[in-house]
Amino acid sequence: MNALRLADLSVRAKLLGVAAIASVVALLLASAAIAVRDRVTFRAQKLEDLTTQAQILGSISSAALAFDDPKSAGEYLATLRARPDVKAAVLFNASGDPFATYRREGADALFPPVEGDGHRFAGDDLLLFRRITQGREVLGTVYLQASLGLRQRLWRSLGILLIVTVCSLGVALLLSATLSGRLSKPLLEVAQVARDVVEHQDYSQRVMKRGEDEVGVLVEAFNQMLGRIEQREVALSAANGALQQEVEEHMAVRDEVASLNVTLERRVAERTAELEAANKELESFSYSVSHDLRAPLRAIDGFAMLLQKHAGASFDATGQGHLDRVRSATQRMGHLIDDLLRLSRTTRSEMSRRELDLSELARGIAADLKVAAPEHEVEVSIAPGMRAYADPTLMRTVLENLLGNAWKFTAKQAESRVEVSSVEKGDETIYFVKDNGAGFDMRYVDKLFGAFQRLHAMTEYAGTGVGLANVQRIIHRHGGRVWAKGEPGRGATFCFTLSNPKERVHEQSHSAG
Amino acid sequence: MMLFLGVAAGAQGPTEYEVKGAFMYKFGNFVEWPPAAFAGAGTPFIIGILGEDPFDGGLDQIVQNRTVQGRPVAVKRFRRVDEVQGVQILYLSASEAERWQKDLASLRGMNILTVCDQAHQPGAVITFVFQGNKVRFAIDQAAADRAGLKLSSKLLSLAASVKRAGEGA
Repeated sequence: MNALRLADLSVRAKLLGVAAIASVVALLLASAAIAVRDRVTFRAQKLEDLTTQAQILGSISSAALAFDDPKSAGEYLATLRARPDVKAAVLFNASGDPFATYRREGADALFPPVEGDGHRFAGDDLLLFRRITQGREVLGTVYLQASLGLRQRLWRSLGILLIVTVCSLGVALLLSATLSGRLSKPLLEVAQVARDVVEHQDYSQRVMKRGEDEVGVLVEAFNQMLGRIEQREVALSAANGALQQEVEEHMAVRDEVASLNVTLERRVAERTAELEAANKELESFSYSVSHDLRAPLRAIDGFAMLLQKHAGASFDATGQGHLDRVRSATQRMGHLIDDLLRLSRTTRSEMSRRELDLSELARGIAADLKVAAPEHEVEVSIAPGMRAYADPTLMRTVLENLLGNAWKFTAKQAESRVEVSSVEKGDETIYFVKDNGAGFDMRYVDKLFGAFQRLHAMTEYAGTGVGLANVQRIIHRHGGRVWAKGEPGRGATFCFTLSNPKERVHEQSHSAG
Repeated sequence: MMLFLGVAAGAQGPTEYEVKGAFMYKFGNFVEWPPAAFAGAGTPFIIGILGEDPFDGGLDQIVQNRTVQGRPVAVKRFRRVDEVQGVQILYLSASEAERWQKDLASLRGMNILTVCDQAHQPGAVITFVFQGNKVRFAIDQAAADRAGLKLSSKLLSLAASVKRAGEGA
């Protein structure tokens, strides 16, 4: 509590306090030393003084003692009235009996029996005995009791000390008040400037330096600090400006990018719409073309058949052969048109995905294929429990095509093997159909999924070249990928994925739209 | 005189002449003699008695082993005044009362402190008197001056009376 209050005092007050304490302490110490010395010297002086007095008394009383005149002796002792400090006096004769006495009125006088030369202090009193001699003869003894007046002296000294203390305190306070004002003024200036700086954030202010003392050092350090802060402030505001500019530029760039993005999206949407329109047009065109082509083709086939029936006999063998060729060509064209229509339908048909058992689907297709070509023995292995989330009709088309291909391209193999299975890779499922058939050259893998593209001669393997194109379309519509690996004479593997089950909802919303 | 003696004796203290004898010897310490008063540096201090000895030999006892002015003290008795020689203090006994003036005249010019009792004629330097029942003394300053003696002021202050010079004989 005290320490706190001391810390809260102003420097000026502290200096005043220090000055006051120092002067009081110095005075007290000096006074104590003086008092001790005074006491010692005063006692010695008093003893000397009283001894002299006793000797004088003895001397003047010698005749009175010699001639036995106590009355005169009493008169001599009575002269001690002039000395207020002497409380009592006795003249003893040679035989040690009191001869004459003196007692100060009201004094606490002591009358001890006679003693030899000597003195002692009793309280505030000095008791002294002095022999009166004449030659070798002892005439008597003087006894004096005197007050040292030490207490009075002490009180008087204390009074003087008090006055001197008050005076010197006054002078010390006056002096330190003027001096400490000079000391604390620069400190207060520093504090004022510091407050100004904090309030107005104006770091250009400086405190005036008045000297090279500690306060001067403080002022200099303070000014240097202000200078540093000012520099930092300038640097900081410059950096802030640069940053601001950068941010603005960045914002401008972002806006530009955003507007470009909007433009781009619009263009993409436009192009997509254009493309979709073109695609639709193209599809409807190809559909109608295929559809419209079927009628004349039927007519050709029908009339060729009628011609064969009715006038077959009138043609020679060459004519018959030409007629057969016309018919097989028209039939093949019919197949082509059917496939084209199917492909078109695949693209246009509505898609509804649901949970499927691919294993069961594959088993059914394999059974159909076996029935269709009982002479072709194929070792089929279908992994159980393959599930997929897809359109059942379209998936049937996919598996029919892939298994059909496998069947077709293993026909010339001694031991045909077809495998349908799946592997998990990452978070997607890869389904594959693998055979040990004719295979293909990986150089032509790009052409594999194109419509009407064939890697094998028509005479070798029948087919329109539409199947894999159809497969690819279906898989793409399901958001999956399809690819193939193969080697001539060593079989082929067709792999596909469907879109991640986690994206089904997304898919559904797309397909619904 | 017998009355005083009786009083003194009745006090059981010292007798009149014991006191006077002690005074006789003690006067020596409060009087200054001129150097010519002494025959030499080592000569004793002589107290003389002219006539009958009223001290009854007591004076000899008093001065035994005592010194005055640094000199040993001796007592001498004289029957006639013309015998008096080399004496510093001289007691004029009552037996000399008839020859008093003649004695003093013959002692004139000598540095002698003359002492006598009150009953005698005036003219001695010191005369014993009584104050109450106490032995005191009177001083004739003129006589002392004539004898060339300087009396201590202490002695003078104790005197019952002092006859100053010029006050008439």
